Amino acid sequence: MSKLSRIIGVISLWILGILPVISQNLYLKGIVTDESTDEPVSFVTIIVSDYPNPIENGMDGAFVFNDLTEGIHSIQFIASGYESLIIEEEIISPGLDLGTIKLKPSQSRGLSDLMVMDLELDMESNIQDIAPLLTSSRDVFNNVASYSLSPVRFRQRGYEGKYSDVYLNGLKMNDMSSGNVIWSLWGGVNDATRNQENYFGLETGNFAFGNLGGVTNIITRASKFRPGSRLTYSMSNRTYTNRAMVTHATGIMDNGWSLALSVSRRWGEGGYVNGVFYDAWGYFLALEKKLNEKHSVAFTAVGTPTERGVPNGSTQEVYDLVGSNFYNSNIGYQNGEKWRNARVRDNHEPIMLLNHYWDFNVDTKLTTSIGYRFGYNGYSAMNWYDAPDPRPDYYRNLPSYYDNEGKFDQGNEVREMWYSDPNTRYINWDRLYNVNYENDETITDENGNILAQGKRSKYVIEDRRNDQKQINAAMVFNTKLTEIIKLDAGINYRKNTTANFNKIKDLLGGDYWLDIDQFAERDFAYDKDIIQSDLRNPNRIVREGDTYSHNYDAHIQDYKLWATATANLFKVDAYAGFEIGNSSFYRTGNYQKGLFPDNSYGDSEKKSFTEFAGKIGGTYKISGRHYLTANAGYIENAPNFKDAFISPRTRNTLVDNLKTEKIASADINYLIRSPFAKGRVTAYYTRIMDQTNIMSFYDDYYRSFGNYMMTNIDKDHMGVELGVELKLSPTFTAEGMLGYGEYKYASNPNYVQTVDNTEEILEEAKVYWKDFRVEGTPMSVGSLGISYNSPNYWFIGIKGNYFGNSYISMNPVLRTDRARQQLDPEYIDQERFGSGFTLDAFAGLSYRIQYKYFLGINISANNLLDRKDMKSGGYEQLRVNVDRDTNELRRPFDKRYFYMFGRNFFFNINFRF
Amino acid sequence: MNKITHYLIGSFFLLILLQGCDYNDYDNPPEEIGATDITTTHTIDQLKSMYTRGGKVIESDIIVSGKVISSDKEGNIYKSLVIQDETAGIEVKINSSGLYNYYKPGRVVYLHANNLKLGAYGGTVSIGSIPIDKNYENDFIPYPVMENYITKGRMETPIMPLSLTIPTLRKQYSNMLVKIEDVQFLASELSLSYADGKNNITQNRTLIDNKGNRLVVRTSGYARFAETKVAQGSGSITGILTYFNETAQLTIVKISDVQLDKPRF
Repeated sequence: MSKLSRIIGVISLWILGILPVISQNLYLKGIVTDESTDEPVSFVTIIVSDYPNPIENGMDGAFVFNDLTEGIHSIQFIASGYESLIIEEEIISPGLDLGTIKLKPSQSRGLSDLMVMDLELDMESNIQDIAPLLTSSRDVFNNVASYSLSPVRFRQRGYEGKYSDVYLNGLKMNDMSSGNVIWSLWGGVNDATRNQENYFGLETGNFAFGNLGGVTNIITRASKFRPGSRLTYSMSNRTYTNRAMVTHATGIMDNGWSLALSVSRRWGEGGYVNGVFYDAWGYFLALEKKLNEKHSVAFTAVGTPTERGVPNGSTQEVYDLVGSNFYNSNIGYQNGEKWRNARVRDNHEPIMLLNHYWDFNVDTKLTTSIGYRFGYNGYSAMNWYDAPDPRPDYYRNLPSYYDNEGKFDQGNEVREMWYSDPNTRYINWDRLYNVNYENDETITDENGNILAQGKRSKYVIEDRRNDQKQINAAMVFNTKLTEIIKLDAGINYRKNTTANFNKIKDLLGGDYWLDIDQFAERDFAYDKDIIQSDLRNPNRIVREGDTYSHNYDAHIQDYKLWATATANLFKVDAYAGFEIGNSSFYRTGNYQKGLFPDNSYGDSEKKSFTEFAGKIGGTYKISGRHYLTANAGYIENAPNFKDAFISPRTRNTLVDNLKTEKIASADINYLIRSPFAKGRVTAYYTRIMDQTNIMSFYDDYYRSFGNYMMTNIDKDHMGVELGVELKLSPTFTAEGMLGYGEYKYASNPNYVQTVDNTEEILEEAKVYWKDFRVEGTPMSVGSLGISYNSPNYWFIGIKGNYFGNSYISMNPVLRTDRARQQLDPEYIDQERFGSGFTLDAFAGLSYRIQYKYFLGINISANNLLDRKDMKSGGYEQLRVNVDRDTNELRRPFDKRYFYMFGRNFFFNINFRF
Repeated sequence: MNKITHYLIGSFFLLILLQGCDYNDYDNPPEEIGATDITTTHTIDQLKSMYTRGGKVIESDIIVSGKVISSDKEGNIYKSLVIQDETAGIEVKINSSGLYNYYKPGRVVYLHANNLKLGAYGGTVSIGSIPIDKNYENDFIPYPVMENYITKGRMETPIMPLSLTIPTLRKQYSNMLVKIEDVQFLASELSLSYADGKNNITQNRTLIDNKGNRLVVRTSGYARFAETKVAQGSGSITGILTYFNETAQLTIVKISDVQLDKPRF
């Protein structure tokens, strides 16, 4: 090489930052303390610009960096429970001692608890996914979006909940059947789950490959809990009314043991919605033993036995008849005493984990984890046999049913009943009991033997159970291959068996229920075998606590191998990672169904899918304050169990041509991090391909129950995000964010419709919904807030939020050829919910008593303007009225909506010592 | 930890543990016995005779009472409640299936006829809701308002059917429970079922007595027993008598009412 080219080479390498600058090995040290207590704060993540790796400080609050370069550095301190701090300092040889760095306790602690409990609001519809909201995230956009926009079910970038992974101490806890995150598994023990690492998007921490929407790892190692005790009481008028929590952590004791313990109770009769009672406990135990300098072993147990009533979405006609957008059609007043809710969730699914931490040296560690999850999960519902539909908002109980036929007088009579008679507006429990009281019946078999005598229930409450047993195992290896390259790798395995079955929960005054398939009986009354739920137990008589109707097990397992390599250079960071694995599942039927005697009992075919994922990205450090990052990834996911079987309750038949879904995504970001401003601007594009979805509904056109299997569903998600936090002064902080996205269906999926009773194919065609919007989240959001933090430890703030461009969940049947020909064009359009503006306020204080004790109070009020007319979600029902004479589609059933709560508050008081 | 904190923790634990709830505990509601204190104003026969050509809207507080004789349990009767007193029987048209869950045979019911309309179809008078369709003289009463027109009385013993022979059947017994003895199905029909249950088609079968008199038994294709072969022997049959213009027909309420188990004649 010539001399010139060598100089050019060196200069370019230097510009690229690969060649190190002259002065290094300077130190930076300090001690981090809590501003309100002067006690050291540990587990603080400290990031120094131009330095490859963040470090965590020790129990004594002290930290030290040893190989820094000369110059001005931006130093960021992040600790859960505290506001993050960014300072800029010049470091000159030999180094810099920062002395004591004081962190301010985070004021929004109470608000994060509010978010989790809101997500548990349930509904009977297709829109089940709710993306996990990140608490105490480092990201400004996330932080601002989470707290204020959860009432409108905001999903960042429109991603479904299954694209965000949640780990508990390194073990993935997403539900294996659906991929969704089930927050209720540890809801209520919020003190125990505060320690989290959160990443949004393709970037990730060192414990997993990651997912499209990001990952969260909840760290429950007993040694990571700040020592002390904490008593908390909260009150709100949203979902639960009261919550009490006691938490105690010892920190690492002299004998090497650490213990953390939390017990909680949540209860109440519901705020805005009647009948939404809450009755829950929570317990958490973490133990850790430091065996020696290199080895620690940790154990965690957590459980949240919960029983709660659930609200329902109704049509606008019903909300207007009742005069409230918070009407709940699941309830009725029983015996003149109190509201009884037909839909009650009752679950207790404890999780136990065992972790082993092996620190080979400061750069290399191996974490081995094993977890077990078990318990029961039930969701009750009414069931009835050959009796009028007991639901108050059943379409034939509404004035519109009569008005639509031109029978206005009858419609008005029914309307009058809605205005005047509570038994029309709500479930008439007393009447259901009386029907059962009167129904004396004797059931005999073909030979005349008496199988049951007494009151045969026509109405019952059944419990729909999904009881899971799951084993997780994982090993994660983190090391530094060279000075600048680190490697994170791991293998993991999950095996899940979910028992799906129904039980009789309440006979409602009757003595027994006869277990036959009443829909099969409608079509095949003359065939005694076809109508059986289980040919191996014909004419089964069931009573409270007995299993009936359907009974099958889902067996799902997956294993993965992943590795990510990260290179940290002077000006550039880059990473590349991959994950390969296999997902497989099969069904085991425990009942031999009369309709499908050869295809329902025993094991189904086993389906197996290979999944591959890869990602690449990097950061270019323009300066200590300005950064440019980009990420790109490709992910394959096996179909979910629940979307793979045509009718898993009845038979082993799989959907034809099951494919893995494929995702390609890229994003580019500009970040600013300075003591005065933190911000991010992002542009992203994601394409999701080959999703499948299965729905079941009663088809009025064919007059039968059918299954609708859609395949080749593609979606495009693209948009921009802006988040900024400005320190206007030592006491005033302003924050704002803006998100604009377009989430669209990018293909016209294929569908196959079959009759549930016979498997006969009714039709196969396309759903024409390309360019219609992805449902259930506002695509345009914005927020602006200002807060004042007094040096005397109190704060107050106000925030305005905007949301718009949220679209209803669609009924694909309305976008088929037949529907487009026969229905009015207004039904083909996809409804867009109105945009809105809400105002939130929050305040709090921290008061020190007698030096060691702290009292914290915070209160937040949401939707101060008390808007009760803003839809937060909704769906098109799957039934369409058919004209009997022409057999043409006439009009779809009315859409169902959910409304955002009006003014509501959350009050929290805690006592720490 | 000093005493204050001890007390605080203690009372806090108590607060948590003592919060048992009975949100989901319920008492069974009482059994409804039925009204007994309602005074009737007319007999069913008197009500039916108020009918005029084209239909008659009842505009005064007329109350009749009868016992339920119909049941839609076995699927042969649909959207109708037939009640009978000592004078006559009448069909009440109600837009609901599963009516037998509320009104079992033997239950006394009170019909508040105000705002209902008498209408005829095939010569038989029924009562229902005021229609908008000119093709029918009355319509079905909407299920949500059913209890505005029908009040449940006490449960009593089911009505004894009128013992009649085919020649003694009369229009005055229309929509009443009758029992015919010594009849059998035509020999040519013995291989058939009561109706076409596979395709849900209503069909007629014919009973014959030992004098050669015939009576139509009309069965809906939706009846549970539609695919059951007609009873092969001779004997008695109980059902609701209806008339389509001049033709008498019998509607079977439940298959056990067909007792044709004696040898054929």
